Amino acid sequence: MAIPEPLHTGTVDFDGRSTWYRITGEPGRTPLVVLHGGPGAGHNYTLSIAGIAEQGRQVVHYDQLGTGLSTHLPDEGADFWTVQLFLDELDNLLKELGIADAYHLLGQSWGGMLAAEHAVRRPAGLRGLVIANSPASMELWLAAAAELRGQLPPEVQRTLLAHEAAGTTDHPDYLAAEQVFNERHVCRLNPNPPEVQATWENIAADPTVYHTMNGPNEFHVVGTLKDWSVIDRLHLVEAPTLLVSGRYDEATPETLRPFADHIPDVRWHMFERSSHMPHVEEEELYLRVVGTFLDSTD
Amino acid sequence: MSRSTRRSAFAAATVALALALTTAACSSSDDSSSADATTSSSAAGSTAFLPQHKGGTLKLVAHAAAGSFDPQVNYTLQYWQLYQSMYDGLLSFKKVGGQSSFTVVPDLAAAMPKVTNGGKTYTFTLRKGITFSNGKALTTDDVVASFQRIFKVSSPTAGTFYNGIIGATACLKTPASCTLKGGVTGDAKANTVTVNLTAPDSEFPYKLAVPHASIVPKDSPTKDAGTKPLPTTGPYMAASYDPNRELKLVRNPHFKEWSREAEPQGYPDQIDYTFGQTVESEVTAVENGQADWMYDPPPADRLNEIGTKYTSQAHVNPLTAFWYATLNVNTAPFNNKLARQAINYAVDRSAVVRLYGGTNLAAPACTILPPGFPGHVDSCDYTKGGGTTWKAADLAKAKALVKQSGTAGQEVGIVVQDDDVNKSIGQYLQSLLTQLGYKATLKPLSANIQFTYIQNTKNKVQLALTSWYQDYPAASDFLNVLFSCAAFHPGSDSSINISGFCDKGVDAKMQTALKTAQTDPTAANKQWGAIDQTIMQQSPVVPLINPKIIDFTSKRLGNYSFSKQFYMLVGQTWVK
Repeated sequence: MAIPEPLHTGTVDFDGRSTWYRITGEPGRTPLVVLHGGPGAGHNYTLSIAGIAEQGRQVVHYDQLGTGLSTHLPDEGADFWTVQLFLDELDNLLKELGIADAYHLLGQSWGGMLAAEHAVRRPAGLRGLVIANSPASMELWLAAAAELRGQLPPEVQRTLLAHEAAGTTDHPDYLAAEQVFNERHVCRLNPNPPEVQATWENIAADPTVYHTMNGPNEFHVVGTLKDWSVIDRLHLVEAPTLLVSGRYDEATPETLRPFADHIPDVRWHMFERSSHMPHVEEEELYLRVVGTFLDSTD
Repeated sequence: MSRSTRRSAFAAATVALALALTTAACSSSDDSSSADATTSSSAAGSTAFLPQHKGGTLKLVAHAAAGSFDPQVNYTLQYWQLYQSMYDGLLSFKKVGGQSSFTVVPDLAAAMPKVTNGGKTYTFTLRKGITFSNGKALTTDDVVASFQRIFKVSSPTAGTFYNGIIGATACLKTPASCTLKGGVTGDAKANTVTVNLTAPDSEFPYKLAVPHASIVPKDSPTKDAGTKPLPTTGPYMAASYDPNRELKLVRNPHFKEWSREAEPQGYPDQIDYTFGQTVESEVTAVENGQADWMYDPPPADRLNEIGTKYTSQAHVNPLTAFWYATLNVNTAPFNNKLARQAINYAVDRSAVVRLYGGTNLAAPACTILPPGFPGHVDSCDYTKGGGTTWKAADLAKAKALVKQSGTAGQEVGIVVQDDDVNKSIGQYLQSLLTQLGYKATLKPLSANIQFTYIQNTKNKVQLALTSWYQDYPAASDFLNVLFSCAAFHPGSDSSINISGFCDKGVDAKMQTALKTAQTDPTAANKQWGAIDQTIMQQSPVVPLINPKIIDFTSKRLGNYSFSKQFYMLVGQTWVK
């Protein structure tokens, strides 16, 4: 399905820096705000979710600070790129767009972690929460990555290990081995759709946020998020919550399970033919499942 | 996990069946609960072949294909139904409608096996003159290789059905080099195959009669054949298979009927199975005569027209299955027997029948073993006033038991699948628990995740809604599989004993019944019936309904018959 054209795009001021956003669809029912992953991936790869706009609600995408079309700050360090920074940026965006009183949030991967952080603070306007392909803690995420990596073909594992030991993780062989993992557990569409490709390019162009908060790749989380967990606060979430994951997702069921266990009003849909991006891997079904959930929580 | 694929195929099928079938006009071949019940369907296969009906193309439609066509890999009803007229095992289920469809008969074996060595050795003599659809004659080597192949292709039931064969443990460990040494041997000269088990298994004949034990040529690939169907021995073979479009079955030119009850010759010359239609268009196609049968259950909003305008074309059949609620006996509040019994008294099975789609699609359930299933005894401990059949819920008694248990006010999470039917039953249970004084919450999970989620004790599931459909007609397939201590695996995603029920006394009785079944199946079934009632007294589950299925067929389709094991006998239908 073609990605719908935006109704308009713009920026909001965030402490002297700018957050770029894009709105799809005419005003109608409670709008949906999409939080991209990475961190630092940019909104592009989640654009198919704009298809929800056809169901009568606006869909807001934005680039988080340091990413895509928002202000880049390549010189800021680890103490700057915090969870709180992105929570503040989201609050600012909701306020500036005038939707803080009633909105849905859909966070993909890191975006879902951020959305959970937002939700445990019990914001009054949050009507429905979608946590898509996100771990509830980095400890679980790392364990899943290790397990999935252990299932890669032996020669791929050997390549990864050899270059990691030699410190040559930018070697083409290493990148090719990493690609094997990505094709299995990140996006199974080959080639990746253009909007997903655009996100990879975003990260390559300015990896500041990704490298600082995450690390060099999907199975080496050495950044500031290394010890992150929201598990002990999930019981505080008041909004009805939909969990989304893929059968081959790097966010394995184990990593999402605490959301299912501790959020009081929760449901979970696993997409059988998807990995980490069911919104592009099974787009039509995804829009229907998410749309039905949002309809039930307006 | 192994059963879930087949199970989910059923579950998916029943989902769309739900909601209101407003008319009771459909023809029905309901069995009564007695073991000798007959259906209204003709008992195809046992009657003589009627040559005037031979020929034509039978047209089947389904929303989607069912994946790999490998009979030793596929675990869906959708294809098991077709395999009945394609692949053969040493034994098979009788190809007739009604209760006799549960009977195992010799198929590629000339007679039932000679069982020696205290029930551990089965010796089969092969029929002579059977040829695969590729023209090669069936030999003992093919049989031995097929048993090895079960493990080499990691058949879903390799570890559950066939792990009792000597050598199976090694084969499960390293499938690629599976030899089943000492387990399965062939004697080409004597034309015999011998299977040695590590222990007697009264259910082994059933396990040999399901498609995973099909005999395929010895040179078949030792991996999932996928979309390249293997040669058959039965009346039909696949001419082409494209899961996105169509499966075409044509006559196996080498087939000659060797046993009318095991593998009767088919009527249609060709069977075209088209995929990719919407369920709505499937109904229309059958109504217009463009298709002869639809796999998917008709959607709710078409049931009325089917029941009024196409009465003679709708066939309703009860399934040997039950939908039930599990109560976690190891976690509060259901670690209290009185609390469990309270739920059993409180649930109105008739209300659940309505939520499922009405009396044409389900019947109230009181026992674990479904009516018509070996061992089943009509008994209904938890209905108002007691008795043998469901009458009404006893809410007053339930409330008194909750009070007596001291569990009122506790929180109860209910985990259901996220489709409309399961959710609505979940909502009903939620409101009922609230009425009883619990704080109930509902957690809908997609079907593919719910089944494993509710099995894992780590998730501390207190109450879950699930279902179980028979693999083969033995009481142990429900009672031993679902309620034995051995079926409870804490911390695992495949702990099918979801209630965590483990009673040493009941376990001992089940072992006795399994042993009795080796020599006296009738006596064993009596024992199983008593075990069912003993478990129900402990109340680890709430049986809710026994589902039924609707087959919607074209006007021209004749000789409809329903096997309780594999459903409509496709090859026995005629279109001329």
